[in-house]
Amino acid sequence: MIGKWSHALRVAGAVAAQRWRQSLRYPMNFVLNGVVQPLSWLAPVYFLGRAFAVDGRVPGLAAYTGSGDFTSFFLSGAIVAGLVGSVLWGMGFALKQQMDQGVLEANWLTPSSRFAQLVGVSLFDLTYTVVQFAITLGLAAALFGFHPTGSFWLALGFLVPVIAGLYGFGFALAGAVLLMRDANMLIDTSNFIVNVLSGENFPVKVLPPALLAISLALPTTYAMDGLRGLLLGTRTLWPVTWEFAALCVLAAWLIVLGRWSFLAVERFCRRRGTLALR
Amino acid sequence: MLRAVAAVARRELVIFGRYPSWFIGTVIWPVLFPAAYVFSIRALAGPAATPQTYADALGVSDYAGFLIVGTTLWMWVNITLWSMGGALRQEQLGGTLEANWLTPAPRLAVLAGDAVANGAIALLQMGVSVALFVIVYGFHVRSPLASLAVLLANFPWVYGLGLLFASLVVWAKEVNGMVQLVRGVFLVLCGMTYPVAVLPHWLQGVSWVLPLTHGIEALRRTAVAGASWGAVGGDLAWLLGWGAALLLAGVAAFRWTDRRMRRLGSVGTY
Repeated sequence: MIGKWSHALRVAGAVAAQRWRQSLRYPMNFVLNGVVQPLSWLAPVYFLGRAFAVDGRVPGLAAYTGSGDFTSFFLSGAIVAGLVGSVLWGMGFALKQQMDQGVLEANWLTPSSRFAQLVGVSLFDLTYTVVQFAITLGLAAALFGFHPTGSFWLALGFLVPVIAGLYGFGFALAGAVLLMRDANMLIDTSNFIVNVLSGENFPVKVLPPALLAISLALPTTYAMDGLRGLLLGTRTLWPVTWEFAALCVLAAWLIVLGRWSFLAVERFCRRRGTLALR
Repeated sequence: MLRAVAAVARRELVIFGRYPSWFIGTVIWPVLFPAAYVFSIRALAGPAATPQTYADALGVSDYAGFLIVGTTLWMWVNITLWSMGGALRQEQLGGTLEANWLTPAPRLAVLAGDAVANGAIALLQMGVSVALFVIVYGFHVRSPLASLAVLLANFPWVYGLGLLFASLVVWAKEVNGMVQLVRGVFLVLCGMTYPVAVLPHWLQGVSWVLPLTHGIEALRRTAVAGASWGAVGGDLAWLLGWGAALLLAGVAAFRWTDRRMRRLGSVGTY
């Protein structure tokens, strides 16, 4: 059992190292994708916030959340949204790239675990996101201002279970990519919907009731809400400990469901011999 | 030349039809994308917001229309950058660029055909979007003819930029980062979700040079505020001027890239 895990870890580590090497071969891409992109996505909401701001604070947002510091509100949402993007794109898109280049079959014929290969790719994306966010947060704080009033480290605790849950979602999405043989639209749309319904740039209280019900079933909603509660002192939907418990339960459920659906699709594709198609 | 353009355009449309998820994306994205900002605006306006709250902040009380215009035009530029920028790059990565360039068809036809197919898809997307905007957001275009004129005036610069961008991508051998850079400039500066007046003063000057700022502003005036042709004449002239300049620059950049790559023998490398 230990041998199996250590082998899986070695495979994941090797895949992640290979992806890092590839990424660093395109330095312009690294800078533009890693720094310019997250900053440019913050601009539309930041300037929108400025349109509603009175003396640097937004009274309307304060009425909903208890905090009118719109910049910090958006930035903390962007932290979780960045994680969502990195795991989902990491798993699904890498699979599609291998399909397009015709190496998926060859890679999957090796004796290494397919899950370990998938985790390896997203491990790269995750570490990439951490580096990216350290830089982006620093730049954004300098450009727009970021004023956390609560415990930064306690707030980061919310990110551990959400990453685990996102891996489950990523497994399911990778299965869907195998089935539909298309990645961009599927991942882009899932990524966007998850981030919007989790309240990346607004408190989920403003959602219509039907969308709010879906939002409350997503672990990322509790991650964003809890993170803001601990970091900025905003009013949370539920007490923070309850939100943490809900987040853990939903994340565990997503891992089981994601793993099961990926295995089912993979079996289906191998039986039909469609792994090499694109 | 025209037959080659038509053949490439037909190929692109057939490929588009082969991936139903792309079509679904074409339909749902224009509706989905503004939603994120609609909820942000509602949150920023607060629970006691009145139409005046939105008018004070944005200049118009129809905040959904304000956002729809900005996001639809930006999304069009974004899709064009990805598809035209990715067109030659995909061939480069797939190893078919050299083979295609060795055929007797004019090489510019490959890109022009791609632009024609993209334009057709964009028109389809906008037609579907206008219908969906009525259903989902209750948004009605107030001056349809003037709005259509503004939309058409955007075509030359958008596809001129696409041509220029495709050459840049082949030269830089990278599409993702280049798209992030160019679309990022438009995202930050063109008032997609906000009135340009909230930008710092010096940035407003930069913003008003860009064609997308004029495209968004003119379409907001006609489609949301109901202004006529006369009110957007200056914007239309600016858009057409940019269109002519970018189309010429696009053709020149493509010819320069073509010559350079053949001289260096780098058509087949990626």
